[in-house]
Amino acid sequence: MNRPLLELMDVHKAFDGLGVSVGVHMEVRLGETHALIGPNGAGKTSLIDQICGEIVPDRGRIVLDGEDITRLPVHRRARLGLARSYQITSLMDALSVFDNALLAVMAHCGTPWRMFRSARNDERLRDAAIAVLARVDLGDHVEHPAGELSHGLRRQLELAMTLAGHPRLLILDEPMAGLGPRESARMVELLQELKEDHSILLVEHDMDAVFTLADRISVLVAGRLIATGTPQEVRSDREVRRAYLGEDADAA
Amino acid sequence: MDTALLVTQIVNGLQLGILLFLVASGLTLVFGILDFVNLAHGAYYMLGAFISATLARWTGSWPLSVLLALPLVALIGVFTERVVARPLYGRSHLAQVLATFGLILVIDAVAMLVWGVEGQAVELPAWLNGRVTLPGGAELPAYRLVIIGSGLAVAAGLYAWVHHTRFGMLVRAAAANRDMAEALGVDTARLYAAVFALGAALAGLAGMLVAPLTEASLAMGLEIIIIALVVIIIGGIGSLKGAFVAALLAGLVDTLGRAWLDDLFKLAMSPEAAETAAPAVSAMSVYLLMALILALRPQGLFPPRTRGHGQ
Amino acid sequence: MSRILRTLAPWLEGLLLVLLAAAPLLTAWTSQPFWLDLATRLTILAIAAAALNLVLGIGGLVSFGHAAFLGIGAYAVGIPAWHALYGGAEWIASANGFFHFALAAGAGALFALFTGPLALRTRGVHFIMITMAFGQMVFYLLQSLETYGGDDGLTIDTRSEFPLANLDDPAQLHWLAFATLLAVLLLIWRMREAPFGLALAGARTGERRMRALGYDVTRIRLAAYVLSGALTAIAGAWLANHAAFVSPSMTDWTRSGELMFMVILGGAGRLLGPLTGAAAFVLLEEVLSSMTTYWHLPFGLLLILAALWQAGVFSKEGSST
Repeated sequence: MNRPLLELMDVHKAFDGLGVSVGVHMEVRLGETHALIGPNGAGKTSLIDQICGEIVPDRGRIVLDGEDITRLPVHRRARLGLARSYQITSLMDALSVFDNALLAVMAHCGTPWRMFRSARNDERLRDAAIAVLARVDLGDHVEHPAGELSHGLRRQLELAMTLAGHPRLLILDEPMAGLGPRESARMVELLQELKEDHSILLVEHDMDAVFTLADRISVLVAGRLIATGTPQEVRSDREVRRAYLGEDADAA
Repeated sequence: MDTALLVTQIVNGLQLGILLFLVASGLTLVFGILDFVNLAHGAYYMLGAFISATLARWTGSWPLSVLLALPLVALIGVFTERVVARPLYGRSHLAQVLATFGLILVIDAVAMLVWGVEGQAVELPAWLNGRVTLPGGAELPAYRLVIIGSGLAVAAGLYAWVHHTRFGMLVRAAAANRDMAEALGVDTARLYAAVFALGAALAGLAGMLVAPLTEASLAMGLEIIIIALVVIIIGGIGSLKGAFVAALLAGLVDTLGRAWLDDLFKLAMSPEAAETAAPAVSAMSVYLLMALILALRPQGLFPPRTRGHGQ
Repeated sequence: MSRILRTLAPWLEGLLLVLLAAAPLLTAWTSQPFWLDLATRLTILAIAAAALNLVLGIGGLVSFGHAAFLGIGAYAVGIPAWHALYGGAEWIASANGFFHFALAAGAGALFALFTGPLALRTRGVHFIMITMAFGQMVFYLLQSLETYGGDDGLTIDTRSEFPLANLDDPAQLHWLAFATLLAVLLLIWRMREAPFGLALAGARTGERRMRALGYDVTRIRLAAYVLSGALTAIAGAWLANHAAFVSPSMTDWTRSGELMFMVILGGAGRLLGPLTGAAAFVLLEEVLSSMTTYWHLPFGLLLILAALWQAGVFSKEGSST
C-alpha cells in the first residue's frame, strides 16, 4: 500500500450553524485515483475548497505529503503541487487558449516577475504550453479566446490548466459536468491516461465514470464521510446503499 | 482640560457626525439595495442647501422652506434615478462611477447657472437663534442642538421604518436578495425609485440643516461626498447601523482631532514640530481612521450578510 | 461604427505621436506658442493616463485616486525647489532635476506601497472608494502644508535643473516630456507581453483561477500599483515644471475622474489608448471652455453618454429601460 499523499484529519466546517464538513477523516494515497461521491449538497465542493484553501476549516488539519497546509493561502498550496479544476469552468475568458495554458505553465516556472522579455516568445514556456494543450486535444484551438470555446472544449482546457504544472495531486471537481455522451466518453479516456502517472482526487456524479476510474471511493453524506473503500466494498456497503445509492439507484 | 470646551467640541463633533449620517445613510441604502454607486449623492446635499436658501428668501420662513424643499430634492433624486441610474443597474461599477461623476459636473454647472458662484446665506428665525447653557458651563448656539436632535429623530424614524413597516421589509428583502424579491412580484422599479428619492431627501435635509451655519456653496457637495464614502466604508457598505456608528465616530475624530491634536503631539515632540505636524495629521484623521479599521476589518465595522448576487 | 474606429485608431494615434514630436517646430513655424502649451499638457496627461491604464486597463483595478500621485510628484519638485531658493530643510533643498524626478518616483511608489495593501484587500466598489479616499487624504494633507502655500499652492521660481537642457525653454521641456511618454509607453508595451503583464491580465479576468494556479495575485497587483504610482508621480513632476506651479487642487478627486475618463475613452487596456483619451480630453476642455464658462455642463453630459455607451446600454435595444 502506498503512503498517504493527502490527509484530512477531523475537519469541521459550518456556515451559519449548518455543518458542511463534520469530522471528516480522509486520505488520498500516492498514485491512486480516489473518488469522492455523495448526493447534491453533501458538502463535496466545500471539502475541496478547504483542501485547496479557498475556505479555512473551523477545526482539524489538512496535510499534504507530511506538511501541514491547513492555514496556507491558495497560491502557496498550488505551488506545493495541488492543482484543481472547477465544477463551473473557470478560465481567463478574455485571453486566448494559448495564453491560458501559458499562464498555467508560467505559474510553476517561477517567472511571473519577469517584466520585459516576452512570455509568448520564450521557447521553453511556449513548448510546454503547446505540449499540454496537445495532451488534451486542443492543439487546433490555440489562438481562440477561451471565452468563445464550446463547453466541451472549455472542460478540456480546464483540465489542461491543472496538468500544466506537473502537480502532485490533481483535484477534479466534476470534470464531466454538462458534457454530452461523446464528450464524456472522451473525458473518461483522457482521465484514464492521466491516471497512469497522476494521483487524482475526483468528484463526480457520473457513476459509470467513477466506477471505471476510481481505485477507491469515499462517500460523503450531509458533511459526514460514511464509507471509504474499493468500488466493490462501497457498492456493497449497506449504509451507502441506503443513504445514497438507494435514492439514486438508476445512476449506479 | 476645560470641561466647557470639551463639551462644546463634543457637541460640534456630534453635529458633524449627524450631518454625515444623513448623507451616508442614503448612499449606503442605494448601494446596499441597488448595488449602485452614486457619486452624485453629494449634489443632493448641495441642492438641498441652495433650494432651501432660495425658498427661505421667497417665503421669509426657513422652517417652511425646508418643508417645501424636501419633496423638490426627492423629485430631483427620482429624475436622476430614471435618467442616469436605472439604465446602469447591474452594469459595471466603473460605468456607474463615470456616469455619476458626469452627473456631478452637470448638476454643479446647472447650480452655477441658477445661483451663481457666490455662496448664499440663510437666516434663522429668532427662536432658533438663541444660545443655551449646558451643564459644565458650555454655552452653545441652540441651533446646533436642533441639528443633533432632528438628525437623531430622523435616524430613529429610519430605523423604525426599515424594521417595522411593510415597505421597509420589502427594502430589506430586496437588499438581501434582489432576484428573489423580483421573482416574488415586488415592483422593484418603484421600490428603487422610492429608495433613491428617500436617499436624496435625506442628503438634501442635511444640506438644508447646515446652510444656516455655513451658507450654501457650490463646493459643499464635492466636499461631503468623499467623507460620506469613507463613513460607509468604515461602517460596512449597505449597513444603516454601520453608517450611523461610523458617521458619529468620524465626526468626533475629525472635530476633536482638529481641536486637540497639537496639545497631544506637544506631549511627545517639540512645540514647533507639533505645530506643523498636528494640522497635517488632523486633516487626514478620518482617512487614517478608515485605514486603521480596514486593516483590522476589510469589510468595515458592520459588514452586511452575504448578498444574494455577490459576484 | 466601432469597427471603423478600431481600424482608424492606430493611424490616428501614429499621427498624434508625430504631431507631438514635431509640436515645437510646428508652433515655431506658425508662431502660435499656445499650441505648444497645449501639446505639452497633452503629453504629460498622456503619461499619467498610460500609468493609470496599467492598473485600470490591464489589471482591471479601478483606481479613483490617481490624482494623488500627480500631486505627490508635483510637490516633489515644488518643495525641494522652494527650499533651494529660500533656504531651510537642507536635507531636501535641491534644484537638481534628477533629484526631483527620483524623489517624485520614490514618493509615489512609497505612497502606493503603503495604501496599496489596504486597498487591495478589497474588491470592486470597495476598491474604487478606498483609492478615492486615500487620494482625498493627500489633498487635505497638501492643503494643510501652510509653509508651502496651503490651499493657494506654491509658485515654482526655478524649474528642475538638468545638465545640457533648460526646462525654461518650452520646446526643450516638451521634448523631454515627450521622451518620457515614449519611454513609459515602451515600458508598458514590453511589460504587457512579458510574464508579469500576462499574469496581471490573467488576474483581471480570472482571479480565482490564477490563485489556484499558484499566483500570488495580491503581490502582482501591488507591484503594478506601485509602478503605476511612481509613473504617475513622474507625470506630476512634469506637470509642476510645465505650469511652474503646484497646488492641492492637482490632487482633487475630480482630477482622478478625468484621468479615468481618458483611459476609458481611449479604450481601457489599449497601449496607445491613453494618448487618444488625453488628446480628446484636452481638446474638449479647450473647445468647450472657449465656448462657455459652464463647460462642465456639456463635458458632464458627454461623460454620462460615454458611460452609458461603455456599459452597452445603447447596443441592446429595448433592454433595461
